[in-house]
Amino acid sequence: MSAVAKDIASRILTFREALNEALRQEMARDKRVILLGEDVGRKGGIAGVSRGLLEEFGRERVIDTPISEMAIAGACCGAAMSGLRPVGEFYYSDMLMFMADNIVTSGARLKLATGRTAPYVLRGRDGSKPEDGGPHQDSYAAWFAHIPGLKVVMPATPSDAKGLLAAAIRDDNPVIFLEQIPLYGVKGFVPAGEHLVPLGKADIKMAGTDVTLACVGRCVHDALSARERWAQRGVSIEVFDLRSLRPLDIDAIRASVRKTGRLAVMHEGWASYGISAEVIACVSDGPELLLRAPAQRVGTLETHIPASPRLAAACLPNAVRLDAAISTLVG
Amino acid sequence: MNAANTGKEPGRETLRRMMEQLVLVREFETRCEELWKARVHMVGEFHLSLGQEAIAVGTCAAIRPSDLICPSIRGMGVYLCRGASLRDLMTTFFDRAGGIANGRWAHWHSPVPDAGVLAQTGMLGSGLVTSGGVALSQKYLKTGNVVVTMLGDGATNTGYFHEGVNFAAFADLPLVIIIENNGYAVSTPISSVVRVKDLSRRAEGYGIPGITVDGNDAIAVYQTVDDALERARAGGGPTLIECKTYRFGGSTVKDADALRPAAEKDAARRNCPVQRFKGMLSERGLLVEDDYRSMVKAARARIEEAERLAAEQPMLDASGDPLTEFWPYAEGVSK
Repeated sequence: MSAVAKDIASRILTFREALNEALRQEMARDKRVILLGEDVGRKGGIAGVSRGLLEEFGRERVIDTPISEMAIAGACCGAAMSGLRPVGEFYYSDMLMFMADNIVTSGARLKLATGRTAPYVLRGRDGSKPEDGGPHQDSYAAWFAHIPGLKVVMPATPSDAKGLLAAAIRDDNPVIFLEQIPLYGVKGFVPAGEHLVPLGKADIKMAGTDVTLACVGRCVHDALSARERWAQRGVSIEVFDLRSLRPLDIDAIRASVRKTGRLAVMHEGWASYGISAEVIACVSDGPELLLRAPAQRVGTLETHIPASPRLAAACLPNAVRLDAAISTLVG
Repeated sequence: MNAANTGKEPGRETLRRMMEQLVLVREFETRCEELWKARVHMVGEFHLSLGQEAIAVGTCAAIRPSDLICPSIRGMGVYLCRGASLRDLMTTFFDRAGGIANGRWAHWHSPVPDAGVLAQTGMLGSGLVTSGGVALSQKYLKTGNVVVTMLGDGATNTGYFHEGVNFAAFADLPLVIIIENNGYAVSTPISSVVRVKDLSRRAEGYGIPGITVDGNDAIAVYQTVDDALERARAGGGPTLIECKTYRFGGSTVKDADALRPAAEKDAARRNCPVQRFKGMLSERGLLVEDDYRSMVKAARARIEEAERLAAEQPMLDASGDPLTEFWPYAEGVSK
């Protein structure tokens, strides 16, 4: 193996490791960055994202809290108002509902009251659990993307995970950072050293000419598989990773659809009033008529996700429903 | 306001049934752990109550069949003591059709209406506030039933807990709140995140009785719960009971449990609630070794049969229209 190949191989990290590296580098760089949450210290986080950080940065900066999500969210907001740059962890997106009041009525609207924003990140596990099933399988990205004053981010690859988390920590606004559960073990090349992915900038994961498939989080990987399937049938899909749900990279989405004329949006969470509703609205209400076919939404079906993984798979956005949407577009 | 324990002693028949139930819970959960570790297809997370069985057994022996109970996330003992079908539990674990949840709800949160077990969710503390509502309707409808709601020590630090206890106190609800304090919220020692030694002291702040009891002593749990039930049934409002215990294994079967000290775990094994109860019954001359052995044998036979029957059920069928099957709205309007 050449030296360059070895270098690259040594930089193949899991999504989890990439997030850990972002936290470690930002904490080393900026003493104002602290971590707090349930089991973030001794255990290294419920998903292992903060492993080793308690040992490296000490108990003053890595705080194991009680199971008190309201207090965690409030502490992050308050500490951010007064000079720190906290990163709070939640166990699952469901727990954002406990935190929601503080996030919405304190964090997001702080500038109105004080003229300043609060720089903090709330991050944690989001979305479906294909292995285990059970409760806590929802994705509440759209709830928070609805709120002016918040930024909402959902990376799909290890490289984006590191770059977006570092950028989120440096951002002067509250950021909701969502880590989809099936992605933690996904491996990919991650740049060493400082690596920042700007919030609000989408990424074309694979270019295509016939269909824009906008997607986010784990659905990016479903979209990449679909792209291969459909290439065999002569359909060229552009896999368009939204990465940030707010700010939404509207110009880039329009540019992609201007090229393809066809749009499908795939994401976890319900489609009604959801991510796809917003993306399609942004494409439709611009100055030009871009769509040559009715836009398609592939979200979680409008019901609740059953505990059984077998039954859950039928309700979640899946390949069957994605293929049906693409058929409608190119049929 | 730490109330004295004045509850009555369980009778001989009850004691014997409690022994059987302790054995059943121990054997059933041990088998679940074995199956899970052997990678037999078991869906969901298993928050086992091994080491904590006396709390469910003592509580369920004290309540009446018509009383309602909302278990904690570590609630398998409650399901078993309330008579939920072993086959139905196994069917759900195996992701097969039917069972206690039919694949809809997480098995460790599922309601079992026939057994008076209320549904809960994974949102810690939420079972307490919902139980408060169930207690409100018991009071309003004058059913004479009491609601028992259980939660772990970790959940007592949620906003739900504090609002829920005060709400029950203000409204004089027939509610018994049981904290299963096993000392840890996943990896975090409860002693590192609260400044009171006994969580029952929190009751003082809400103006209700609070009692701490040895949660590995099924008789003490029974007496304390019995006392609280009587008070609630007589209109005396809620009681907060803290049962101190320790879980033998990790927070879930998946938890490597690398952070709790070995000495602590060994001490917990020596303070086994099943063996302690067995010792107490033997001392009183109510149990001989052969009785105990036959109880273990009977429990194992029941579990084996449940497994066999569950494995015969068809797998859950995902071929239907999910929107029809899982439609979240009621049809029509109430007449």
